[in-house]
Amino acid sequence: MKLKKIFMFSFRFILVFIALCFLVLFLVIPLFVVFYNAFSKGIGMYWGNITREETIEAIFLTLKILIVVLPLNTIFGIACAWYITKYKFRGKKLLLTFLDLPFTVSPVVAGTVFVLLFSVNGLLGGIVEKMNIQIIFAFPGMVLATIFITFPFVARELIPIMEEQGQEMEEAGRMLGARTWQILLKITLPNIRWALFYGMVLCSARCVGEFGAVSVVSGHIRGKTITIPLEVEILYNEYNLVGAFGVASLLCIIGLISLIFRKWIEKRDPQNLYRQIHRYGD
Amino acid sequence: MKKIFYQKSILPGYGLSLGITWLYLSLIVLLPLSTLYIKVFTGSLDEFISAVFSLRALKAYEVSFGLSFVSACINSLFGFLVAWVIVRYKIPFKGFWDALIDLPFALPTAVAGITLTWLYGPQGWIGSFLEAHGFKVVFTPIGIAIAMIFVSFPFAVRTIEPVLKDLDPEVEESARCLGASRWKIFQKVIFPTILPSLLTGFTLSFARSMGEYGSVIFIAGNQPLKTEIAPLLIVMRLEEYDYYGSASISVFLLTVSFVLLLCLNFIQFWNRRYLGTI
Amino acid sequence: MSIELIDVSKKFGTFVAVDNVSFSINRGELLALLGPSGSGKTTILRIIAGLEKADTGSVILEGRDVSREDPRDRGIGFVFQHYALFRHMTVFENVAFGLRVKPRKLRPSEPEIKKRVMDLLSLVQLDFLAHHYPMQLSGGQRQRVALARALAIQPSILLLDEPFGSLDARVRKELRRWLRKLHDEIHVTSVFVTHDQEEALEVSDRVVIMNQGKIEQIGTPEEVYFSPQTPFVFQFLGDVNLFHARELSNGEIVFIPDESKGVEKKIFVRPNQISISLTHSRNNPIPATIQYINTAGPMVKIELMDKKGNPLLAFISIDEYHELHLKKNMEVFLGVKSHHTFENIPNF
Repeated sequence: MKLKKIFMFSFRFILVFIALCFLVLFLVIPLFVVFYNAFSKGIGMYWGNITREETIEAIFLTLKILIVVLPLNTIFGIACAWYITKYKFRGKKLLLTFLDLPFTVSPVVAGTVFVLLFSVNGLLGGIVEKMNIQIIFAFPGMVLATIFITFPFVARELIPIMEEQGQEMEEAGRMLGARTWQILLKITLPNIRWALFYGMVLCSARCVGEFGAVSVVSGHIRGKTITIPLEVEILYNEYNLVGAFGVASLLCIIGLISLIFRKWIEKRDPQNLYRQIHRYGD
Repeated sequence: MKKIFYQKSILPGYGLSLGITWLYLSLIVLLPLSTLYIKVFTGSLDEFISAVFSLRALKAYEVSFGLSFVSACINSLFGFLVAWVIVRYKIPFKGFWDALIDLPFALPTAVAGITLTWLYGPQGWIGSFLEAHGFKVVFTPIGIAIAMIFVSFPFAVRTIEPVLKDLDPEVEESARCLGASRWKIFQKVIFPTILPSLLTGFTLSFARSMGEYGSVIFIAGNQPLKTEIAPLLIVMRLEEYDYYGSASISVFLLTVSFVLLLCLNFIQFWNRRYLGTI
Repeated sequence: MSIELIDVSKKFGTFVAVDNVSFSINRGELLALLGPSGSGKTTILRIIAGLEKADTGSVILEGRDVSREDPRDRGIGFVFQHYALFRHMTVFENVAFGLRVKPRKLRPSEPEIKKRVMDLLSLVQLDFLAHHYPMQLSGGQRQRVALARALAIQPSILLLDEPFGSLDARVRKELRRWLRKLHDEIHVTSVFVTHDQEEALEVSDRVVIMNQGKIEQIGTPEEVYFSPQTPFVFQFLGDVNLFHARELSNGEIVFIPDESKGVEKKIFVRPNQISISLTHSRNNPIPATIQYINTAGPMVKIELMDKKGNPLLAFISIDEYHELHLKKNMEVFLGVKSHHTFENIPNF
C-alpha cells in the first residue's frame, strides 16, 4: 500500500515536471528572449530604437488601422451576437461556422484574396481604377485584410455569455415598457460589458499584431504602409537585431496587457462569472 | 420535424441585426473568397492542375501538411498533459501558468518568428548548445515544426481544459466504487469523454499550423523544395505577378480549410449525441 | 380588467403547444393555470402578455382586441419564472425601471418615483434591502422584488409564471399565503401558472386545468376537486385507485366481477374513500393484502395489492388504524365509500 502511494506521488511529480518544463521551454524562455535582446545594448539604445522616426510612423499607421477596424468590428460583434442569441432561424450553424473562418484560413490567403479582388483584372479592379483610388498596397487594403482576420473576436466573446443569460431580462424590460434602444442600452449592454470590453481588447491586440495578411497587401512601402510587425521584419532583415527586438517588445507588452486583463476580468466579475463556453477553444 | 425559417420573436431588432451581420460578412468574407474561386474557374483545368500540382507546390504541401500533422500530434499530447496538470494537480503559481498558455495568441506571429529563430539559431541559448552537438534546428524542417508548435499550442490546451474541468467527479467516484483501477478509469471513463475535444484541438492546431506564415518564414530558410511552406509559395507567386498561380494555390489551401471546418462541425455533432439535442 | 381568449392556437414547428383554447377571466379574479409540463399553460400566459404571438385566435382585454398590440402597450405586469431581475441594478433601480423608461411626458418626477418605489418595497416587505443587488438576495426575496417591479407600472393585469417554482417547500407555502393576501389587498386581475395542484387549489379563485394544449376543466377549486369532469383532472388532483368493475343492468356496481353479467366499467376512487375491514361483507367485498404501512403524517397511508396483483392505496385515520391492528402482509377486505366514473375514457 505504501509502495503504491510512493509510486502515485512520483508519477504525479513527473507529470507536473514534464508539463512545466514544456511551458518554460516553449513559452517562458521566448518571452524572456524578446526583452533580453531588446535591452542587450542598454536602455538608452532601447529608447533610441523605439523612438526612431520609422518606428513612430509605424505606430501611427497601426493605430490608424485600429481606429477604423475596432468600431466596425464592435458594431458587427454586437449585432451578430444579438442576431445569433436572441432569435431562432435557419442557417445559424452556417453563420457560426463563418465566425470560425479566420482561425482555419491562412492569413496569407486572406491577404491574397484582397490583392486579387482589387488587382487590375480583378473583379473590382476596374471600378477602383476608374475612381482612382488606391486600395492594394495602401491603407484601405490593409484595413480590409485586418478586418478579415479580426472580425469575429468581439462576437465570439459575446455569444456564449448572451446565450447563457437568455432573453428573459430583455423580455422583462419589454413588459415594463422599455423601447428598443432602452433595452439595448440599459439592460443588454450593462450585462455584457466585461465580455464586450475583453472582446475589444482581444480584437485590438490581434489587429495590432497581425502580420501575414497585412504583409501581403501592404507592398512594404517605407514610410507609407509599414505597420509595427512589418517594421520588426524590416529591422530583422537589415540585421538590426536589437532594433527588431526593441520594437517587438512593444508588441509583447500589448499582448501581455491583454493576458493580464483577462485574468483581471475573471477575478473582478464573479457576478457574471466569466465563463467561456468554448466552441472550438479560444 | 419541419424546419421553420424564422421563429417570430418579440424582441426588436431582428431586421437590423440580420442586416448588419450578413452585409458585413458578405463584404468582408464571402464576396472576396468567392472571387478567388471565380478567378480560378476562369482558367482552364490544365492550367489549374499545373499551377496547383507543380513540383514546387507539391513539395510545399508536403512540408506544410506533414509538419502541421507532426506539430498537431505533439501539441495534442503536451496540450493534454498541461491541461491535466493544471486542472487536476495543485501546482505553485497556477494562475501564472494558466495565463501563460494564451501567450502565443497574444504574441504577434512576427515576434514569435524572430524570437524562435534567435533562440534556436547559432547565437541563441538553445541553438548554440544544440549546434555544439551537431544538431541544426534553424532553416530545417525541425525549426518549422517548432514554430508551428508554438503558435498552435493554446488551441490544444484550451479545448481540453474546460471538458476536464466539467468532468463530473461523481462519475469517477462511481467507477471507483464499482472497483475500477485508476488506469481503467482513465481508459474507460475519462478518455472517451475528452476524445472529441482532443480531436477538436488536433484539428484546430493542424489548421492553424498549416496556414501559419509570420512565425515560420523567419525560421524556415525558405528554400524551394526543401523548407518552403505553402503560404509562402502563394506570396512568391504574387510577387512574380503570377496571380493565377497564387489564386490556384490559395483555392487549394482554402478548400482544405473548409474541409477542416467541416470536420470540426462533425466532431461537434458527434460529441452532441450524448446531449440528446439535434 | 377582464381577459378573454377566443380560439387561441399556437404551434412550435409541428408541436401543438396550444390547441384552440377559449376562456375568460373576470375582473379582479385570481386564476390558476394548472397542468403538467408541456401542457401549454406557460405559452398561454405568454400569449396574453404578448411575448408570443398566437397563430390564430385573439386576446381581448376589457373588450379591446390586443392581439396585434405590442406587449408594451398592454399594461400588463409579468413575473418571470426565474424572476429575470436586472442583475446590474439594485433592488430599488429594478423596481424603478418601469417608471424611468416612460416617455418624458408620462414619467413621474424623481421624488415621486422614489416614493412609489419605496411604497411598493414596503408592501412586499423589502424596503430594508433597497440598495442591495439581486444576487445578494434569497430566492423568496427575489420573487418579491420581481413582483414589486411588475406592480410598479400599475398594471391592470398581473401574470405570474410558476411564481413559486424554484423556491424550497417552506418558503413556497409562506409566499403562497402572502400572495393570496396581497391579491385581496390590491385586487388586480391575476393569472398564475403552476404544475402544483395543491398550490393552485389553495391560492386561486378559479382553476383552469390543461393537458396537451387543451383545457380539461375550468372551475372553482371545490368544483374541480369534487366533481372532476375527466379522468385526467381526477388523477392530476390527487392519488387515484382504478378498479375494473362491472355495472349490472339494475345500475348496481360489482367489484368482484362475474364476467358473464353486466358491462365493464372503470371506477375511480380516491384513497381516502376506501374503507378497510378485517371481515368480508357486502360493503367490503374486495380482498387485498397489505404491502406497506406509513404512519407518519396526518393520515395513515396503506399500500395494498389485490388478488390480480394491482397496487392499491388507502388513507385511513390513525384511530381507525389502531382499532384494526393492521400489520404488514395481513389479508383485509376493502370497500368503496364513494367513486367516480367517466363516459368514454380514452386510453386511461
